[in-house]
Amino acid sequence: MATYNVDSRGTACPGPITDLIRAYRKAQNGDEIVLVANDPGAVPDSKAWCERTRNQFMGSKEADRIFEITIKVTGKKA
Amino acid sequence: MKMAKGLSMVISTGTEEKMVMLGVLTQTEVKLEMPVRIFVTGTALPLFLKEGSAKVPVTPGGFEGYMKELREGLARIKFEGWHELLKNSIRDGDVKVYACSLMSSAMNLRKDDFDSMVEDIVGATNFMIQSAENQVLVL
Repeated sequence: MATYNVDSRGTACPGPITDLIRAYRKAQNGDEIVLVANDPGAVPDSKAWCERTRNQFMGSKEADRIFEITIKVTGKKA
Repeated sequence: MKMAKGLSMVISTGTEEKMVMLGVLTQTEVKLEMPVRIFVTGTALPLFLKEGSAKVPVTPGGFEGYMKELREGLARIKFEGWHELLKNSIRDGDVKVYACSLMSSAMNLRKDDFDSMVEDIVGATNFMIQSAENQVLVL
């Protein structure tokens, strides 16, 4: 299982989600994507995207207005 | 024809007449027991800050006289006010107000800066996913 680290710091909406989807396209079920962003919409957007696409939102952490979001890829069709 | 589940509104210009429509349409939708999602951006953003509703909405250039007349007319007919309508709608129905993350970042605003009626700061993805089955209006 691979981990994709995506650094979206400095990009505003919809940059973080665009970067997340770019990583998702390369990923397989079971992989993790760790998205780092400073756009305040990155967490609620990632959560909504996970629900919509049946991927798993594992959690998020915030420090100094930087968000680290972990997503488990589960939504890829076999 | 498939009916929309609810109404989503993007309020991007904080002029008096648009704020009035936002309040009236939201209240109507709640009376119809339909959900409402509101995305606040652009020049409407300052009106949703703490104490923001006390601010005079944006006056469009060239309409100063008309807007003054409209404001006086709304007071005369005892229009409740957009903020009151939204507040009551949130209390009575499935209404969520979100601040645009792009504009909030640009204006260096955090969740704590906003009126308590603002549920969260979200991006376009969250709003569009929540609006997938709704009719979307841009005010």
